[in-house]
Amino acid sequence: MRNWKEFQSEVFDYVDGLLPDEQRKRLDKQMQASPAALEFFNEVRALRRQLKSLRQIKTSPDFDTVLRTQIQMEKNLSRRSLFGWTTNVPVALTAGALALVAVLFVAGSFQSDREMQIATARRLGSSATTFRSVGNSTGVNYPMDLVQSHGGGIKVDSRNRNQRASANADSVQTLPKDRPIVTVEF
Amino acid sequence: MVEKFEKAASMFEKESRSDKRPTDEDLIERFQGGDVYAFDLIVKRYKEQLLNFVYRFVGNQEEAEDIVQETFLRVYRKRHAYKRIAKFSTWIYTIAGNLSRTELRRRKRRKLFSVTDMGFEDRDYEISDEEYNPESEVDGVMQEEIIHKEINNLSPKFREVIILRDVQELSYEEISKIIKVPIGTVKSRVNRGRLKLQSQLKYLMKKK
Repeated sequence: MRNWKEFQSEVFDYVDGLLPDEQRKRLDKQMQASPAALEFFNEVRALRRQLKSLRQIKTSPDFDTVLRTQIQMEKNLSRRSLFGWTTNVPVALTAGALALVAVLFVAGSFQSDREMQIATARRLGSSATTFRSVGNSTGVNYPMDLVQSHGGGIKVDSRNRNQRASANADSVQTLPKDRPIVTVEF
Repeated sequence: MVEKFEKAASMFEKESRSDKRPTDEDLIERFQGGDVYAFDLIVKRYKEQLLNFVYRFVGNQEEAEDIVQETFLRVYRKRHAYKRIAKFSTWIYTIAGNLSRTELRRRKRRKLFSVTDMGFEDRDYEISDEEYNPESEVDGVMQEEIIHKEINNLSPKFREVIILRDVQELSYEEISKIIKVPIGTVKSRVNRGRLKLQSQLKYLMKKK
């Protein structure tokens, strides 16, 4: 004997059209015999009918227009985010230009400093002797007033330091005698 | 824009007249390939269907329309996420159902917040009307409203399956895929929902 819950479940399957023929026939017989069972079956069927026939509402007349506008806005938004960097072009350009100017300025100041030193060295002497180092000079600052451009490298004039220094006293500072002289390969 | 729409509409009419009506899956594939008219056809096919589902679910037509709009927007945005292994209807119903549930949660939070904000004296309690006679005469519109209200009184998990099964007439299998629960659970929820509705609407059923 099936309980009431099982019976209800079978009735729901019956109205859903999911009950096999054999079971359906058995249920029909049961309902004929029991008014309570038949009443339940009728209620289930009536409810299904009611739910099926509920009024179908329609979308508002501007539904499509609103949707299309939203899609268009969406498209514009994604386009803007895709090419968003383009709106910052002037800022990026200005920043880049400023950075370039700063780099050129720093490089230029180094260059002019070096050129000035080389020119000074040129003025200091006529013949130059290239030498690697004098004394224990590793890591010692070399006197730039003695540096001279020579072909691809740099030479440092070591002759008559005091003599040259006095001759060019107006432009070159006199160096202490004990200061070591080194050549630097640029 | 208007021309595009008219073209899509005429295409839709032609396609509905002909026997070779493209399936939803064909349409979304065409849309994935860049055919925007296919999207218009999808909207035409589903807007009313989805609106009725969402309206019965959230209980408010304006909100339902917003949700359906958002559903189509998501389809538009995430069109490439759809894979042909699933039915398109399952996919679109899942999106609409998720958005509806989110709206219901948001509404619940709002309601909770506004009630806790009020003082004890301010709180408005719904007192059942003892004199209300369910046997009284109800016309078709009223009856419709009563059913709609009772559907809305169901908890969302029963409400959703009842709408999908008994109003929208989707198969248990499809409902199971949409709400991502086993078929057995869907059936049990539908049956329990029906029993709840039946007990609330008994007097209406007897009139029939």
